[in-house]
Amino acid sequence: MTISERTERFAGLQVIDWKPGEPVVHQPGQVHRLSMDYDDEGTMAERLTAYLDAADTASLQALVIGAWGEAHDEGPTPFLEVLIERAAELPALKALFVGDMTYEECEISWIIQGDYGPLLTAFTGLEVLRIRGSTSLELPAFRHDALRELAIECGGLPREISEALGASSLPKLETLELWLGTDDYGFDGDVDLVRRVVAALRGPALKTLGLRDAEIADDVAKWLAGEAWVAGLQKLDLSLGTLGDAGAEALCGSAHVARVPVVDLSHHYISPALQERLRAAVPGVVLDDAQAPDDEDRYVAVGE
Amino acid sequence: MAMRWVVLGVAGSKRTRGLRDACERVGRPAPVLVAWRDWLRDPACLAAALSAPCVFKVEPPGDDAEVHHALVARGAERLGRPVPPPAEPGELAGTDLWFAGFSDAMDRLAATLAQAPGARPVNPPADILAMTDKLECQQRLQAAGVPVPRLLGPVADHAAFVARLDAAGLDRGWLKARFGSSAAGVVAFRRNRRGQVSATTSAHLVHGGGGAPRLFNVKRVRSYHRPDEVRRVMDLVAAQGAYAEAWVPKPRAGAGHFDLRLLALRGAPAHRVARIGERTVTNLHLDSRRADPADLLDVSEIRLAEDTVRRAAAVFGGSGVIGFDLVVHGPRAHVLEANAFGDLLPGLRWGGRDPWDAALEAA
Repeated sequence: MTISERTERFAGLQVIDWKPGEPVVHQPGQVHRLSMDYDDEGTMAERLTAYLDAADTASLQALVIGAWGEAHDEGPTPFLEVLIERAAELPALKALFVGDMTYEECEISWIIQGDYGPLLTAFTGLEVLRIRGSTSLELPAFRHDALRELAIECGGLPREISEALGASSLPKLETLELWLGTDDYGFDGDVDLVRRVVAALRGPALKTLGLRDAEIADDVAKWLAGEAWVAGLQKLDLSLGTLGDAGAEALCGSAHVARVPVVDLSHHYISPALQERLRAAVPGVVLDDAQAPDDEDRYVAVGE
Repeated sequence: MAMRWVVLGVAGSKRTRGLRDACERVGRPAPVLVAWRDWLRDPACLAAALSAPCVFKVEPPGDDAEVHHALVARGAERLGRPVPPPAEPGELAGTDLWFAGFSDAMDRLAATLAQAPGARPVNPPADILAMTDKLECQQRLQAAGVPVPRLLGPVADHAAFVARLDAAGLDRGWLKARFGSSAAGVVAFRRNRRGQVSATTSAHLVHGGGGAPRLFNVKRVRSYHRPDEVRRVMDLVAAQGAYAEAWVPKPRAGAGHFDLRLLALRGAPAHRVARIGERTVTNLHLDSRRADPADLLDVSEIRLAEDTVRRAAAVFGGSGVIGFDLVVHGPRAHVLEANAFGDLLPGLRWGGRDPWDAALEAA
């Protein structure tokens, strides 16, 4: 194994852990992750304050917040308020990831999130926002003129969040990534709701659409197969879900999908015969991580 | 003249093959194998093999179902309990009886060795026994000042486990089978204030046709979330002897976390491998990825790991080969486990030698 496998990237930057007491020095192309161990003392609000005090805030472009103390019981609001209070000091902050936690640190369905309305109001220049976890997540219907990339990773996307997104306006949006999840973990929408969200957020800039980790992956694929605008995407990502032959059949027959350079269906339940047909019909298809159906049950890749 | 090796093991196992291949590579005669099943039927066969000078290595009785049941039966006799029906392959049952039988076997082995002054054990039976009782092992390490995760004591069932967490003010912890091997019967438990619970384990609950629920050890880790299932899994593990231990955070690597397996050969740190797992339990055979610790830890952390292993190995000073599992995280190191059979690391090299090459040379 090489170092690069350990590396994770966010917003095109290499993620580096920052530990309290260290100076805040950015190499070009790097972003810091602030993360607390299960047994660490103190709060993320304190840690973030110490970080910002030590940083050249005027030039800080990106930040990753990992595990905060007891993320399975406490939400991010206290440290989001620190950011909001200091928004004027952070004019360059363009990319924020809140909740970069592993399964060991906190099961994704247990991560307590918070209200992102005030943050989006305070950071009008924010271009990339990635959120992991949907429990207690709140999002108002909003308009944001800078956001290029919005991602919500979760085990189940609640209807209220979709409804809010469906009433929002993001004219610069290039990348939309929503993990739909399963009803076991809070997904209570359907393909019509997803269609409304995409209709509201799909502008001329949209190049990457990810509707991932979906137990309704077949329905999503059938719908997308008939949408002419799909042909204008650079990447369509339906990975991590329960896509099977029904959805694959629809994708196979879609001239729009065939024109998308990357169609990622990894973690799927598609039969070998249909995989072959997909490869022939959709040159950009990625079919990694095939799942063996177990007693006809299909599971999304990330639930609990 | 190289010393002859005698192995108490299982014919055809990876372990006996590994040692035999190492002997072949250096032109030694193949080790003399005494099979566990033969020894349990006829103790004299081992005494005969040990009568001339030799190095003597005990390998675990392994997956031999006949040997497993023979040890369970012997343990039941020793504890004055009824002999249960033979376990099914992979079933996690009666490990306390198995350990009692294994204790009896180690006692007999010690007696045999006392009559065989020319036989030099790689690991003496008393050490093997102490390391196979994971709680005893951790207590010994702790008493010697070796850092181990906080021990919360033996627990008889799920309720007792939760009571220990309550008393310690914790919302997560490990339930560990006392007499398991590797990850068998290890449960990572978590809860939150909304009343949700989760138990992550390789022990799978099987409800067989109207009978009582049973546990099977499988290679895929899964999580239970239904409170009744969490309780049942933990009750079944704890009924065979278990203890509670605090959760020590493991350092992160990518989307997973890792711990280290570090082999001590005659007390000195040697072969090492990092085990990266994405589902909390990182033992090698459970879908973990191997990595070179030097790619994940800095020089001072590696030194800390080595120093910790040196101190831990000294607790079992008579043992030549011990596998330690440990977590090194910043300025802290914790020993999770000492394994008297921890050298099954095929292909892993240190100083150009695999663990069996190195064991031959160290002996």
